[in-house]
Amino acid sequence: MSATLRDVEETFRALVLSREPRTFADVDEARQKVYRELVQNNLRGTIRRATPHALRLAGPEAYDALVGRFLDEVPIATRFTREIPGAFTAWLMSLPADELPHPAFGELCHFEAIEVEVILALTTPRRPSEPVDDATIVTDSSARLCVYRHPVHKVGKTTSSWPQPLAAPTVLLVFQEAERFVVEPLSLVLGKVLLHAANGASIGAAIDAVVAEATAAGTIVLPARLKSELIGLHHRGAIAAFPYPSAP
Amino acid sequence: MGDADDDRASAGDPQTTASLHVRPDNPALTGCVGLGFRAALAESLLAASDDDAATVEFIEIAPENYLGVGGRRGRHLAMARARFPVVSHGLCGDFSGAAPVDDELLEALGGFLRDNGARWYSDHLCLTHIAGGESHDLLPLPYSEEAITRVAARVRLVGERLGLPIAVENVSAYLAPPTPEGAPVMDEASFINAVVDAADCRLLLDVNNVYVNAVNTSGPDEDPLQRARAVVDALPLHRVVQMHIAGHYVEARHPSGAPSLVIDTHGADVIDPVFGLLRHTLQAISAKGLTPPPVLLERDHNIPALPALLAEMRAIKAIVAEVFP
Repeated sequence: MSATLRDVEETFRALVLSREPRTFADVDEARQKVYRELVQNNLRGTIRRATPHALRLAGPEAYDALVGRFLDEVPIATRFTREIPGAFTAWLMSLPADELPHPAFGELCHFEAIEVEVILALTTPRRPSEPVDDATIVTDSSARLCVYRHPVHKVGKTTSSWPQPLAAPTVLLVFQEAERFVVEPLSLVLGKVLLHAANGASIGAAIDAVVAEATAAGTIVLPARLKSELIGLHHRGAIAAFPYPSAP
Repeated sequence: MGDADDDRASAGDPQTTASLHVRPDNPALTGCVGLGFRAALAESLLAASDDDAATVEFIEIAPENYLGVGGRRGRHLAMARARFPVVSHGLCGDFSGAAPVDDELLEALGGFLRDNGARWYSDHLCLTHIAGGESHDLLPLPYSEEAITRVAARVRLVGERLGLPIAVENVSAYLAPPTPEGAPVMDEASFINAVVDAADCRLLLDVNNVYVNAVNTSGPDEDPLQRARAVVDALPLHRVVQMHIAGHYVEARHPSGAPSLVIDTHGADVIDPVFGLLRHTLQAISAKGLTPPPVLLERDHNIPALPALLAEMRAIKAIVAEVFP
């Protein structure tokens, strides 16, 4: 067989990642299989280790079928092994629910994978400041805002069944505190304030938006309480600072 | 290649003494013996006594496992840097890639290498990027002119951008990918020579990989160690800036019981023939009037307790001292 470097790359890709492997002609098949096993075991193992509860609840067959499909369908863009579980869960979240072992599977994988991201994140130096109306919010670089329809953050080593759907989505802020992974449940309105702020709104504008939404729905939101909660998150390191837009 | 899961287990803070083993008198780490710094080893290494730590004359890290990383892992690197000289060895630098270099990644890598006092930067002479995605494994390149040209151009470019000497590491191979029809047939040593000449770069010589390839290409009646020695003798030893040594796994055997296929796992103790190849390589280096390069023990799987690794490192040091008294 004659081959350019591009041919070799493509055959390797089909050999090691495709669900229907293609092999090099005139090359010992047992040795080709070694490469498939090495690559598959490495990538599959990386995802498995990051999402042990999802693997256990789904069972290895259903779980591995999805991982195999991911490796076949999605070229891995990252050179960082630690980002592979995140790429897998992003792909899972794009799938229709009926293609997953359980409706909570994607959310559970997401929550487990994000733990790795958070504990490996560089943290942002905290700058003492106050959540005044004109200021903005800079969250710590480890912080992630998650919204789940299932209480996947309560799944542990002894959990033996899938979490049941919640009446209302749960909002979680996960972040690194003293090198540990911390899960902080938030009220929906506080989650929305953080979301508005992440999109560039000032604290005052973000709070005004959620107050208006709450008023329209006939509920009461206390801005002072929201600010107090923001201060609490700032003290714990989830929020790095409340800078003015012009501040460096 | 990754070990993020090790960071999940929350363990105690290693108690480290503050002695610094940096060798300003020996920036090239001539004759030094080092150990691959892995998350699973970090705590015991950082808590090691001064006597034990003195056996570890340098550590090697994979920038991909530390770039942009904080938390406990980032702190461990900072502590290790204060105690040991650090060399950086990439995992998927894409020396054979056809796509444009990743400018952002290269810039971050450059900053990381500067922060860690890098004197050179090495990565593997292999395929990692395969038709649109990363394999996260070390796949063999075809021994072709096209591969030589592409790798040499990339190595030169990366070296210029990082402002550091670049070393390519010979990798283990379990098959030989096809080459263009009618192209001259090249062996491993010729290919490596051609790449480092064209790139004008250094060589990170992994003696275990040479041995693995010798076993994997030897017939039942051939002596792989003899074949491995011949490969070493044909390599550009004046370009060797660092060496690796490791253990491997026997996947298949000839009817005689001799290994016919071995896998470079870094998951077992170094075997005597590989120690023998290290001795042979150092003797060949000495015969050319060159100084001994630093030798690194790699252990990524089935990692034993630190004392066992230190004993293996002392065995390596004894060989270095025997050849370069």
